[in-house]
Amino acid sequence: MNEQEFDDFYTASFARITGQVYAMIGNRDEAQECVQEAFVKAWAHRRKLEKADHPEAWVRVTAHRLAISRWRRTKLAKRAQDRAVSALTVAPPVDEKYVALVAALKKLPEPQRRALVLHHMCDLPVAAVAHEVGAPEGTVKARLSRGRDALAALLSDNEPNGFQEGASHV
Amino acid sequence: MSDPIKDLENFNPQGLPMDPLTPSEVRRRGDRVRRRNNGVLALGAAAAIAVVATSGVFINNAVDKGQEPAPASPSQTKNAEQAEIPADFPLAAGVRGATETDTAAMSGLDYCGVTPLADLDPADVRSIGLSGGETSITRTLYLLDSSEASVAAHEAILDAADACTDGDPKDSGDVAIHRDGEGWPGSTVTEDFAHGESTTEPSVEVVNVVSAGPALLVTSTIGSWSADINAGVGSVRSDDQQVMLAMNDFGDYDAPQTDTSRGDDSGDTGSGASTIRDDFPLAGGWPDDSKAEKGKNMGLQGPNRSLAPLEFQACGEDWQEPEYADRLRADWNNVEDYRSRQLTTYADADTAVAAVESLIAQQRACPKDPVRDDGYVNNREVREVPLGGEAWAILERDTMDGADSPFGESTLVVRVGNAVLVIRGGGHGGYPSGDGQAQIDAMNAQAADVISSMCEFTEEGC
Repeated sequence: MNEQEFDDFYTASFARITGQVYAMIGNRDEAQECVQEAFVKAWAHRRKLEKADHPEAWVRVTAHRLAISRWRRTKLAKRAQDRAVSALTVAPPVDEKYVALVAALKKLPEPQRRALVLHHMCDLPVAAVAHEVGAPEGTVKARLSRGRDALAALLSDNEPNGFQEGASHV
Repeated sequence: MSDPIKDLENFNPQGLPMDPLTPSEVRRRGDRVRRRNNGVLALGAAAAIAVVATSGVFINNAVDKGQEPAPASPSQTKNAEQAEIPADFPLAAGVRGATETDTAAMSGLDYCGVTPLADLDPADVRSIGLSGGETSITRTLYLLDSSEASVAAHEAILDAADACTDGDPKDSGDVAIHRDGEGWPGSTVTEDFAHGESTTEPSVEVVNVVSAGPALLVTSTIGSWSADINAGVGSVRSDDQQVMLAMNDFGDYDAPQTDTSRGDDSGDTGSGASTIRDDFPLAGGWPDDSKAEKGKNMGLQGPNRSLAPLEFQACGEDWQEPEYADRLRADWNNVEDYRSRQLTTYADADTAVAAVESLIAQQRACPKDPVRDDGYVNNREVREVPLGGEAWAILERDTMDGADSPFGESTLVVRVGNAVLVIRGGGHGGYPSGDGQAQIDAMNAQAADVISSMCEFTEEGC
C-alpha cells in the first residue's frame, strides 16, 4: 500500500470506523483516539495490512483491542493523557437519538454489543462477524437474537427502565 | 418508539464531530513507530544470520546438550504429514516430576482479555505441568494442520501481547515481546506483575513460543525476575532449549515475519545501556595506525572521551543537541583523508529517536548553504539508509558557479536502541567520486563491526 492508497483509505474510512467503534465502546473521544492510533499502527505495519483481506476490518479490530486496553486503564482513572495520540478535544453533543442508542448499547454485554454493531451497522454477514470476533456462527446468532431483544427492551417507550434482567446474558 | 435496529443500521458516523489527524501526520507517526521497533528486529535478524553463517552459539549449545545442531533458517517442512506427537517427544525435559496430559494446558493464555490459543483445533496436543511452592511450569505442544497454521497461531499470540503492551499496570502486568536471538529461533513474551520492583515473589510470567513445521510449542514459567526481565528470558530459554531442539523433528523453525514491526510502541524496548564501555571497538575497520603518514593528528586518535565532539551545521545554524548520557570519539587521519566516528548514548531510545529526528530535520531543511566567502556553495542531500534501527546519510558537496567540485564530506548517522553512531569522512575519505551510494556503502562496510556491536545498546542486548 503506497502513500496515496493509504491516504485514500484513511480519508474514506476514518469516520465510518470511528462511528462503529463509538457504537461498540460508547465513548466518542476514546473511539476517535483508538481509531487514530490503529491507523498509525496500520501504516507502521502496512505489509501486514496489504495481506489482510479486509483492511478496514483490520483497523477496526485493532482499534477495538486498543479500546479494551485503554478501558482497563481508564477504569482506574490512571491513564496519562499525554499518551493519547490526538490532542484532547471537547466534542459537541451528538444527535439525541444516537446518544440514547449508544447508551442502550453500553448496557448490553460486550459480545452482544459487538455482534449487533458488526452485523447491523457494519453490515457484515453472520459468518464474517463470527470470523472477526472469533466465535462460532451459532454463538453469534444467539448473541444477535438476545442483543436485539435486550436493545428493544431498553429503548422501549413503555419501559424506560425496561432492561429485562438476565435477557442479555449469553 | 423507533426501531432500534433500524436506528443502528442508519447510524450516521458522518454526523459525529471529528478532528482527525491529517493522513501525512498519521504516516509520519507510523514511520516513527516502525523505526523505533526496527532496531531490535534488525539486530535479531542479524543474529539469526550470524548463527547460520558461523555455526556459532546455536551449534555450541546443541553440542553441549548432546543434541544434533539445528538450523535456524526456515525451509521446507520435514515431516508435514505427521499426525501425532511421538510418544518419546521430550516435552518434560528438565522438569522432574512433571505431570503429562493430553490437554491443551496453555489454551487459557490471556493478554488483556484476548485468548489467542482458545480456539485452536490441533491434530494432536500434549501438555506437561509442574506447580507447587514457588514453581510453576507449563508446556504445551500443539500439532497443527500445517506450518502456516503454526505460524498463524504464533502470530496470534504476539498480536495479543502487542495489543496489551500498554495495558493498565494496575490491572495486568507489564507485557513485553522479546524476539528471536542467538540460539533461540522463537519468541518470548513476558508479563511482569511486580512492575519492575525487586521482589522475591514469583511475579513474572515468561512465555516461550516456537514454531517448527506444523508444531507449535508454548511454554509458561513463572519466576521472580521482575528486577531483571532479561535474566528471566535467558533462563527460561535455556531451560526450554532441549524441547525446542527436539521440535526440529517436525520441520525447520519458522516464525511470523519480523518486518511487521511488533513490540512496545512506547519505544522503551529499544533502550539498553547508557554507559559506553571503554573498550568499545569504535575504531574497528579503519586502516592500521601505521598506514598513515607521520605528523600531528595523523593516524589513529582515540577512542576516548576527550576528542572534540563532531558538530553539525546547516545554513549557518548549529544543531542544538539534546542532553546525552555518554560519548566516545575516534579519528583516523591521513593526508587528505579524514575519518571520524562518534558514539553517543542517550537516556533512552525515545530520546535517541528525538535526537536523530531533530538533526535530520535541520539538515533536510537546508539543501544548500549560503555562498561562502571563497565562492563555494555546499549542497546537501539527506538520504534514509536501511541500516540499524534507523540510519541517514548526509552527503555534502561543494559547487562553484553550479559546477561540481572535488570537495565534499559525507556523514552516516546510525541509531540502534538508545545509541547514535556518527561516521564522517572528508577528503579522500569523504566524497571522492561524487557517487553518493558508493560512499554510503563504503562507510557502512568499513564500520560493519562497530554497528553490529551496537546491539548492546538495545534492551534485547547482543
